[in-house]
Amino acid sequence: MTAISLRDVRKSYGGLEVISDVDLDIETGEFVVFVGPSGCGKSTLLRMIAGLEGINAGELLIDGKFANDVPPARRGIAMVFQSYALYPHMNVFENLAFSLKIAHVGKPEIERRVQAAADMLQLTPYLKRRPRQLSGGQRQRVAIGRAIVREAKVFLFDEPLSNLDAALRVATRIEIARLKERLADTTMVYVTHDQVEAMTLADRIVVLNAGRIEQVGRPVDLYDNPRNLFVAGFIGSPAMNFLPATLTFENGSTRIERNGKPLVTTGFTSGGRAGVQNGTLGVRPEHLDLASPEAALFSGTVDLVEHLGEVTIAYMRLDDGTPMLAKFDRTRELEKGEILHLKAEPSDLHCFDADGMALPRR
Amino acid sequence: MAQDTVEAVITGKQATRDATAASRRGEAWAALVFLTPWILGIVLLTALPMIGSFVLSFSNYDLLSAPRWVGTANYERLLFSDPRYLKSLEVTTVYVLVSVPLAVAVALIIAVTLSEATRSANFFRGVYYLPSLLGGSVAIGVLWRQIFGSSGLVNISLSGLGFQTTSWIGDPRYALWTLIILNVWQFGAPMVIFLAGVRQIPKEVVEATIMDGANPVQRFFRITLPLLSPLILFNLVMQTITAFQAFVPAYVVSDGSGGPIDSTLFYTLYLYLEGFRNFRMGYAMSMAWVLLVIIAVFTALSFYASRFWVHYES
Repeated sequence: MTAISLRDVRKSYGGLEVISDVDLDIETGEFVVFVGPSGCGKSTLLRMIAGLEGINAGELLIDGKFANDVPPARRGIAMVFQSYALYPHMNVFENLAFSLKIAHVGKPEIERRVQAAADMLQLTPYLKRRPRQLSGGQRQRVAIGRAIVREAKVFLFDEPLSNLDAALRVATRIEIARLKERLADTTMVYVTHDQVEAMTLADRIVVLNAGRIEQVGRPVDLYDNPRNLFVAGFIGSPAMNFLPATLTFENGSTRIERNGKPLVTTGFTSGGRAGVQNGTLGVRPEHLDLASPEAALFSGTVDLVEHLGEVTIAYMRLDDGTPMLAKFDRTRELEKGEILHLKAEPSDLHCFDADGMALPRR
Repeated sequence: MAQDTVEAVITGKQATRDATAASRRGEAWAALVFLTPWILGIVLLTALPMIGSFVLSFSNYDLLSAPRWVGTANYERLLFSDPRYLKSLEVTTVYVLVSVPLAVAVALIIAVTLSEATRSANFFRGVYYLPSLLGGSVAIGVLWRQIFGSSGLVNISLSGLGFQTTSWIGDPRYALWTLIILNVWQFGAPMVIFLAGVRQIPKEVVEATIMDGANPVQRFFRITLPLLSPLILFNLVMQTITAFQAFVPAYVVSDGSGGPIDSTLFYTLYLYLEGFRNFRMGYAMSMAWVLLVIIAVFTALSFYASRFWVHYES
């Protein structure tokens, strides 16, 4: 069943359109992550679902019902804010109980629900403490607890981990993943600019750019089959290498040349295109491996080497001046100025036309 | 060689210590030079007059002849045998207890209403602040007489509507209330402080209350009010101190008499009349010291009570 539907949704401030023609269905119990660069509209879209921002055009359906004008509190939605947004003058219990008191829920029921949420989030020892007496991670748990006690059908998370330090971020991320397992029927929509959070938490990722959806899909699908250059460059770390290439479309297939030399990269269809285009060849740094000069797809000089322990990253410059990153397993003894010859499996190559759209494979 | 190095290091450290000490001495002198005008000001214009007035409050002093030591007679008279003094205390207490909470409440309500940053809100902020700029002046006192006098604006309006009129400032039942209204009307300064406070409430906290289903009234009482409580305390204390010392409006409206029938005889007005009309300086000074104690007790009580209702962020 569809929990949330967005149909041709738009939002603009004055003449500036920040959300354009967004169409999206989120299924009940799904964990959907909105990801994109700063200013792409992901938080705005989340706030439109919450009801904190109005919708200029299009429809928002919650459980199949038109919800554009439904007040935030009546949408069955709870929100976890980036800054936690706890009530500083109330203790943890009062913070958790606030929405229930407002809704005139009976005292025994309030205590039952608060206690259940506190147990789930290991907050019981802190119920009498004020927010200022809690650590960042504990505060974030209270913010999540506030959503749990409301027994909302949909949880919205607006960059909930970005105020935490690196170690706590990982720990809280795991807690959120566990929480999702326990609340299997709860739909969760999560905004982040951190693609690791997106890849690890999401059932589906929605990649946004300049107010538009670039691609929606399972994390692994976005990684393996990015729809366009933006998604290819955004998903994956370090980012995919892009190299200029000449594409010739003939008889439904694509021939790729770099610097006048043909590349043996069978498998890309023309997708109905014809003629010759200046396109882009994409290859992820982790898909490159050392090769003999004869078998090499790319050759270049090492500019800089980063040894990260489990991997080594080489920053290279190809013969035609194009920068390229290569990521090798474990430590490799590479030196600045060294010439590397690299290969990649043909199935790991990506090809984009002049408009930046990925070419389909056979 | 090693010995030389050690000595060089020691000598170097000694030189650094000397230079640091010299620079600290220099800084101390500079500080003293800059502070001197203010230290002199505090000693000559505040501390010495205060000590002088405290000493003179135990004397009879008419400005013309030398003060005569009378011990605690002034204080005894104040507290036990001067009905006019007790009347002035009563008038001032009513004035403070009614006008200060009202002014602070009005300031808070207007500030919350005007907290949205719209163009009209900016305009009204300026308009509402204006009375505070003019409020303490003689001109406003005169204006108040015109408004609440027997042929003033209020009466013209009332008679136009068919109501019975009275001289509001001439009637001892109402005269003090016109001054209370004047004080409430000057809510601009606390309003500006509340406005700054309302802006400090994080937007996400307000949004969290919206998501939690709180309506604007619940939001005001459960979130805005507690979060502004330190500023409410501040404004109450500051307004109380100012109101206890109110002088000009009562002086102007009552022509310096505190009338009708002492109904606007503010504490400081009676103090002024005793000191500068009746030349009982010693007595006036004892009144000033009692006022200081009253204000100190009020302030201390406010701070003591604040622990039960003021929320501090840190």
